[in-house]
Amino acid sequence: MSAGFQAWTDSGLVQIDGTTQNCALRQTISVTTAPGTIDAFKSNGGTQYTFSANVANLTISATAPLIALYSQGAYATILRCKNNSDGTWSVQIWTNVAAAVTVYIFDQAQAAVPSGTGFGLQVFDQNGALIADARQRLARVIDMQSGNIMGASADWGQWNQVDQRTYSWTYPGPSKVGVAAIGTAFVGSPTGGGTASDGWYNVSALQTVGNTVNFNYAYYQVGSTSHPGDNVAFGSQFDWRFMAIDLSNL
Amino acid sequence: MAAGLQIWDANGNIVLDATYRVLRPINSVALSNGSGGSLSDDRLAQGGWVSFQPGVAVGEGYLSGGVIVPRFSISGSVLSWSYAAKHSASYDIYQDGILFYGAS
Repeated sequence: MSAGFQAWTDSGLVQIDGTTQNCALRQTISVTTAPGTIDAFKSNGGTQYTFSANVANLTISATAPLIALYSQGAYATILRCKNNSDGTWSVQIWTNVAAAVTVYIFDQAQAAVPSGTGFGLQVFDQNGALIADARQRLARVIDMQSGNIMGASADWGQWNQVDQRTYSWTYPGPSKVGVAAIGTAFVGSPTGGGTASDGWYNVSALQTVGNTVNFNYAYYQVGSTSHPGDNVAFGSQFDWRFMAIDLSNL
Repeated sequence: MAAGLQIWDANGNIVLDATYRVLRPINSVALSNGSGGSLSDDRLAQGGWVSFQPGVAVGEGYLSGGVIVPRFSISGSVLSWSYAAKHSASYDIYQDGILFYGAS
């Protein structure tokens, strides 16, 4: 870089480099999940079945969304975040019980420029695009976690049903931690069909309470169904991941 | 703190100092049809991250098939993504979506 501004951590990691966008808070949305439906697999003829579940469906505006959830009252996850190719994204949030969830949408700095009178420091790249602004709230990474419920390869296979798996992390320092870049483990099967089918599913989800993140992969019975003995699926369906983001003072 | 940039909000809270790892989004890749791939970017070497936006929910798969969820790995400055091979040509589907990646 011939000119510009750079900032590093005290351990030598780049924070602002003069050419790369930074990730800044664009919008905060409070949603409440309520009884609705989630997709519950298709008949081989292509008919989409659904399960009753607690969900919130929302459309957000963002260039490159990094969505962080803060959910104290329920385990929450994102089942879908579909690019509508018009600057908006359709997001489906699932929770195990109806609950309030705060959705923090981070985006590229140039897409999250604060309005109003400026102060402080702004950094632009060589093309004049804003890449950091002292008025913005940057996404601070606390931790990254990932795993696979079955310890499986990505390939097709069969595994014994797992009814629950839990983990917990507490992060000293921040008063409030959210979860972003969520990857969700999901398997299931309808045993009836149609809308609001009977059946079962397992899903991984995350609860956030202050600076603690609780992970819960659990079995959910919907209506009348037999408990599964095995899961036949692709191993990568059991993958999960999240990034812990500092939401203190946001 | 010996050196570095500090930023406070209007209430006097530190919002950036020299201990903060922040996210720098580098670019995105549209994943479709089960195509794997890789790319190299020196900025990933200090620590990379991925954020995948699934355009397809697993519940959109067929009863007689599965949903092939992509996997990601970062090794040094190389980011790779891959899908498992189909088991059922008729009833397995790929989980398409947008992959954002960056440095932290």
